[in-house]
Amino acid sequence: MDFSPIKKAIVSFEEEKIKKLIEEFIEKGIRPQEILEHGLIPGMKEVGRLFEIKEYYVPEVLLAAETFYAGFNMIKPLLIENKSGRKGRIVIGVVQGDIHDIGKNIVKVMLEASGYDVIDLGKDVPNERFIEVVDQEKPDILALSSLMTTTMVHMEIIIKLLNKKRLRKTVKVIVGGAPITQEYADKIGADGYAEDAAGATRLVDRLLQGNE
Amino acid sequence: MKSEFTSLLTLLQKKGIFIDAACGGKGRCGRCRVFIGREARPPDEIEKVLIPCDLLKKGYRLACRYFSEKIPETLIIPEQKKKSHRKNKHLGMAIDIGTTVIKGALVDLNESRIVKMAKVYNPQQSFGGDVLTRVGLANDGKYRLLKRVLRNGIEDLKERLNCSDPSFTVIVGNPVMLSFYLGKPVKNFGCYPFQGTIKRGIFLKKPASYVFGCIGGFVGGDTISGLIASGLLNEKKPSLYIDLGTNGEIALVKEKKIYVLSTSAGPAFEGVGLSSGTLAIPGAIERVDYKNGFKISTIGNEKPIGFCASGYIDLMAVLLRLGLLTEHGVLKKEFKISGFKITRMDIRKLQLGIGAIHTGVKFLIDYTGIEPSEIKMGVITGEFGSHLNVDSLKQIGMIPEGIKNITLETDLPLRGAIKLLLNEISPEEIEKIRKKSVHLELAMQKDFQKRFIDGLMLKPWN
Repeated sequence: MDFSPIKKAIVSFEEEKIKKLIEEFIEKGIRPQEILEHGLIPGMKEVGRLFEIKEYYVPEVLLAAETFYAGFNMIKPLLIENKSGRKGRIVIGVVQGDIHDIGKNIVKVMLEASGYDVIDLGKDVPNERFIEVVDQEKPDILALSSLMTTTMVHMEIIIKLLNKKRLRKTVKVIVGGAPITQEYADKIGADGYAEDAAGATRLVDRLLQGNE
Repeated sequence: MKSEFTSLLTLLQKKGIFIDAACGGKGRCGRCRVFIGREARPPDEIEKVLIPCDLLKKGYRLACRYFSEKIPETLIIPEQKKKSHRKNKHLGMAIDIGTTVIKGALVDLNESRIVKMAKVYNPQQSFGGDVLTRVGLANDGKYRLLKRVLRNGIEDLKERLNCSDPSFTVIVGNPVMLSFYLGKPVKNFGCYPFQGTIKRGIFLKKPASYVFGCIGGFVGGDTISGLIASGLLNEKKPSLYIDLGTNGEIALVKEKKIYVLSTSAGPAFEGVGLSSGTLAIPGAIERVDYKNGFKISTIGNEKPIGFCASGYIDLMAVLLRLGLLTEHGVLKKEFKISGFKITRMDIRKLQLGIGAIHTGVKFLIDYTGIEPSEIKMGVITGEFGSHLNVDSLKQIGMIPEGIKNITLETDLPLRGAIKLLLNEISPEEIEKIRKKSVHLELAMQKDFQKRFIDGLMLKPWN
């Protein structure tokens, strides 16, 4: 089966086309898992590669992400029974007081396209909400984003709260966003930092491999 | 009411009694102080600023602000000292405190004329180029320091204007700068919903001054004063105001309502973070054209030192035309012009700023339910805005297609402050403008990301 049209539709942001393609693939009886693994994921991975070599940037990744989701959302309901195939669970969100979420959205799509289950808490997420969700969902990774020097302080508070609730050892915390540096991540006791979405995916791969 | 009455100053002049009003009766110098006594009507805001408290209580008022049918019988005109120790009674000052630059104008109040203009860099810059970094530092215990540094910058400006004690000062600026200036907290600017404590305009007694109020979020008194100076508030048809600086403030005026928002255009427009970027200073490449090769021109025709925002935007328009840059923002190959490197990342950073402005304007247009072509007048001002080339703006699609009569204006916020200084507009009218302004938070709109993607496209106008 040739999955390259799906891949191509993502790389060239053809939202209508991908919907049609996926309909056709499903009608032909191709398993959603295969459509995801051989079509959607390689498509978004190619976008990630183009992003890394600076061919693509924010607008292209956002457009590709929309195309990816147009397809992904069609097969997602059909995938639920097959959860064991996913690589890990990630809770992601923009910290409290911060409403800039485009960077987080790009990281999210890259992680989903890499085979991770992502629970997105959105933007301006209260510190306690992160703790609550970590407690309930028991994710492998908690990914925190902040775009302002004035809100990044919440990352440190969240890590302290995790410690206090004895949840810190259950989850790896990764941080990112324009004002964040490796130095800052180390200072607040995060498990990792990445500069961009491609780096975030590699970071998660590395952290979870070490876990197994 | 007032129109039926005449000011005491005029009534006295008709009788041949002349009071020395250094500001020409504009209510800015406080020289025309007269005694009226207990019968006097309550003092207005200006009188409260310009007359010492004890004299106010005794019944002193300003002849130019006291409107009456006839001269009160109790009136006493105090003997005016011929040689006042303050020789600058006829001088007023307007100041626009920007994040990057502080601008000022010294104004002869009596002759309604600008004597001198000057600008200094905001010395807070050394603590960080954008307001949020400074808010962060203030939260970390550097508030007093930042406040003092700003005050020093203003003193420096006054020195350059050769006037340390104007009789009246009008101050405009963005909400964060005004908060530092007035000693108000800046903490809440650090997190959503970004609301400061300054709402209405504020009169200060020492030094006698008026500080414009703020609309909301990062939209402050500079936007109100800029709108006043733009003349757009008198337009019957929808009109658009853009102040393009480190932050971009955008206002759409429609049917007596004003819809405003701010977008963070990022430091790229200041040339920060770009391989060949510079501020708009002598030597900066400000124009780029292409006729059998790139043609550049620099500010002051000096030896080129790099590109400022207007040069970059011209360049992007040329590259789009030549097919070397796609609508998505992909630069086909990196190259040099006059020895200055142009990289893919440079273009991308500029694209984000351009996209933010487009998204903001388009959102206001959609929010108010009009078409871009219904905007009959668009005014762009600001440190970078006023240098841009309107044709290039259209070619890169920085503003939605169809907006009519786009003009560039310099220093509109400062000019609005001068209008108040010269009593061409009253503080009451300014409050009315402030109250009919609606502040909107762009990033909180549901379809923001979709809008932003659209805004990022470098689509030339037809």
